[in-house]
Amino acid sequence: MQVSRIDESTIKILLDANLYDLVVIQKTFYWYLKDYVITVKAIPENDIQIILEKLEIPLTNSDIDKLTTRIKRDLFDFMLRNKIHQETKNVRDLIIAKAFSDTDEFDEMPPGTLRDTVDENKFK
Amino acid sequence: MIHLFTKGICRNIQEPVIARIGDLHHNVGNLFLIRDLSDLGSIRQLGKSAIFLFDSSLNEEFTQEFSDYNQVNNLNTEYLSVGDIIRIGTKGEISTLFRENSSHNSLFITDRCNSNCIMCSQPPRNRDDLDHFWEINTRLLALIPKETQVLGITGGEPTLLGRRFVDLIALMKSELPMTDVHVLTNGRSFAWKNLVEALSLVENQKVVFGIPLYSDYYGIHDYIVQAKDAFDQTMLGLYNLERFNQRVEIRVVLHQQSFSRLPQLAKYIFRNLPFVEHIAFMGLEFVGYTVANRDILWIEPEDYMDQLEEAVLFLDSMGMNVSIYNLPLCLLRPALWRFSRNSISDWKRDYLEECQSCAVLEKCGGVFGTSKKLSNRIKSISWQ
Amino acid sequence: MQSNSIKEFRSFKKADFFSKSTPEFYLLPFRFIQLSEYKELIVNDLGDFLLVPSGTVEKVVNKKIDPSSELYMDLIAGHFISETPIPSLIDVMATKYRTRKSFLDGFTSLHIFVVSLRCNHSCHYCQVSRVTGSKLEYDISFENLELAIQHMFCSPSPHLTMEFQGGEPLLAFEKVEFAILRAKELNKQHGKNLNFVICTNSTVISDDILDFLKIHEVLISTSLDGPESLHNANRPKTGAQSFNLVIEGINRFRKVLGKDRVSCLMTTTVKSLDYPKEIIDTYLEYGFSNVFLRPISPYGFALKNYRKNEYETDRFLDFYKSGLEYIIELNKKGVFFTEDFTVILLQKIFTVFPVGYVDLQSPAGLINSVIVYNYDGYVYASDESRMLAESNDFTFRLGHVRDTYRSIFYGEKAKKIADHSVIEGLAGCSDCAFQTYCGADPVYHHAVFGDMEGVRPLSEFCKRNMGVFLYLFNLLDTRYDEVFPIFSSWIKHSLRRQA
Repeated sequence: MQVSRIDESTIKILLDANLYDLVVIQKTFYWYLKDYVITVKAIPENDIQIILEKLEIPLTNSDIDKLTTRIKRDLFDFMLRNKIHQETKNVRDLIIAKAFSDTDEFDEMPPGTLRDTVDENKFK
Repeated sequence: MIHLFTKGICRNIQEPVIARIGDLHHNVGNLFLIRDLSDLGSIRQLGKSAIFLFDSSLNEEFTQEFSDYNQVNNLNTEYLSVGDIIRIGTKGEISTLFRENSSHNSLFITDRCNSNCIMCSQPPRNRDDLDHFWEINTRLLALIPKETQVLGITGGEPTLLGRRFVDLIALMKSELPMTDVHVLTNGRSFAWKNLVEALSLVENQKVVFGIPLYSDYYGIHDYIVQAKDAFDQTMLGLYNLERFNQRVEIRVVLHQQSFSRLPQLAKYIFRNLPFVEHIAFMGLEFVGYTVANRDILWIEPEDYMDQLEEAVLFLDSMGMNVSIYNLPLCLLRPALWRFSRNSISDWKRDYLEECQSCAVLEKCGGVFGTSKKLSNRIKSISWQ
Repeated sequence: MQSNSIKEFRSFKKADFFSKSTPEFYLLPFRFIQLSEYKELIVNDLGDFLLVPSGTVEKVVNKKIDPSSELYMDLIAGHFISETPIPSLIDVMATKYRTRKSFLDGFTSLHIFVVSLRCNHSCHYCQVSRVTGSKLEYDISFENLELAIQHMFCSPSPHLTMEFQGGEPLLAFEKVEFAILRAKELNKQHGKNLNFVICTNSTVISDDILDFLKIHEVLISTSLDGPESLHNANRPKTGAQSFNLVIEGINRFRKVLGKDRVSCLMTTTVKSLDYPKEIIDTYLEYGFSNVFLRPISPYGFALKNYRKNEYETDRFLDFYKSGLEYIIELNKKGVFFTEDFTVILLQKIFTVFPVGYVDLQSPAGLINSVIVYNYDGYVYASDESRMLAESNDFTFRLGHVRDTYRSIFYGEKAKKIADHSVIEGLAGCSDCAFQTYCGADPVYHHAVFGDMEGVRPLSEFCKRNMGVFLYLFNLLDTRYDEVFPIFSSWIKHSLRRQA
């Protein structure tokens, strides 16, 4: 991640598009809408450029350092969230389908057996 | 301790008998206890229409007179009473199946079990005895007094009866409609919902299923019951029971393998099984498999008291019904005394000599007479 | 069975025979948030949660958890991870999910009847009341009332609550009387469980009214904003007498109907924000054992300065925290007193039972749980939406009682609202750790942002809810032994009341 200052209240961030999905970037910077005007653009050589322009108050260098730390943390968290989402969306859909089903059609077969030491067929 | 098995010498009895011990003086029934010589007249009067249980204290000469009557003689009748329903085997074996003055009677279904709990107090056997006990139980049910308040169903694993288990519950409803029925089962069969659905159609609201759950983590539960998938089956079974409006109680046996995650288990029960009507935390009976596995089971109750307290108080604070069974009051913190119940079956209950001077003897449920090892911290509590 | 296999079956196996020992596992759906510098909070769709050390989520996602650790067991037991792609207890999970959402089963259960806009007070925060005004213009007509009641009985819910609001509903008592009697009559065919509530300022009471309310077991919900000076300051025109009149009214209601039939709501104004303790003390003094520290209604401020709204939310959060801390202290001294918003959230956090609080549900309570029949016969999706109509915004006006049930409850507007009612799909909410416990508010977002979805980082609704959730979870994390016994007594009390 590269961060540079454009003017007294604007910074520019460059992210490698191979490392960060666009959806991760969008979700991360969505939460910065409160304090910044945000522009997200794809630029040549597989980078994503994000411009943050702070409303009203100028950004000090210390502000930019804190902001950078925070953005890194948030990007990382949203990457984790994206991973979780990708891995679990099928199970989630299944749980919800089962939850709202009116019939047994989605019920699973119970696992294992009830066998003891006497051979017999129990449940027909 | 009361012994439920005894043996004598059998004469003239060709087939096993199940009958209620009658009162000779009121001439009710056809099975009688004879302990002294005052009953000679009645015996002669009844003759061969009755069966007699002659106490071993009666001398040879006396019993010679009646040698061709139906009888078991040379018996220790100390633990037999009028009102008991017993089974007499052709070899003179007497098992007490039902005791009128006890609230701890059960129907014994089978010695078979599909689990193999490391602390099983009644280790399972490997032969198919379902028919044998079914025969006994159907005859027994017809004899049990209708006003009996509570009756257990135990084993082994009673649901190994399969469809006949449903028939049994239906029989309980028709024969003993006023009796509360407490079934001890591992609940695994209930993962198959057809069984539970069939049970719900019987509509016997007097039945409670007492089902053990030893951990919130499947690995620990399955290890304790020594059966793969048991935890999952039990949880699915519990959910099916709830789905079909059956009454459920959870039982947790306290020992070295189950104590460390007790608070987590309590939270798990509240979150996942809020519908259970009661949770019982139970002290260990040192008998059966427990003896062989003592190294992985034994722990002084004092050493799990923190976890037990946290678990019990959590469930209580969330409005669930909790009890502690099988632990004498001296081994429990006073804060937990209000959860302690008189749970040990009367015929197994014992007190130590130490206990005679205890201030709370009356309230205490005692210890297991069957246990081969007891805590050495049992101590009488002085008045304060 | 062969004797070898019997032997094998009955031999004792070690613990590792029953547990998976390889480190691979599968993720189950969950969300997380940094709770503090040291802790992360993870929550799944079923409401199970875990407080874990910071960095744990990364380890979980990267499958670097030791399978013999207590954390691993917590994660398996809590349905955060699974050893199989489809978890073995998925049907248990589905049942829990279904239970959480089962408030949807009955569809609309709370039916609000605005019988009149006339009022004998002029509370300065009130959006809707008219002090004067003719009965004809501002009271509901019998005709419309009848149609509304018929719509109510179209609902499949086995429980129906008729809530009378205004203005001051007791000023139109004959309408209330008609409605209750008519509903009971119609109910003979429907067999529903009917409940009646009147939201009143307790100043328009007569013996006849009391008798009627007693016979029909009506619940009273009245307004008490706090101590006398605060309560009266909110009602400048009625002024000095209001507080005394309300207390007198409450006493009359309690005497005839019973203490447990009278409950109180406060309206939080900017002035209230400095007096949480005093408000609670007033409630205690007058024999109430609960208070609802409600947020300031944003509707008056909707068009005003955003910064002012933001400041108000911060101040509200301080107000809430001070109030809650004070209530915790009271409970520690043995006084059972609850804060209602907290109780609602605790129930959502600690149980899977559905919670009937319509302002924090997903899908939102609008139409699914609540409906409003206004004095003019128009039907609105929620109480707040009829307030919007006063500013000529009819987005949530679903129709008129003359229209068919289907067109009102299942019409185009209802569908549009439904599309924006499910927080699982809203921007910002879809990844939020508190999603399982929170709810959607399309009306607020429409009023503030002009669209029902809204912009989450700018939403004071979100900020307020998140602020409360973060505070509660921090309490549970850092002061568990102190607060949990109190919180559990509240949960227990609340569950018992619902049973």
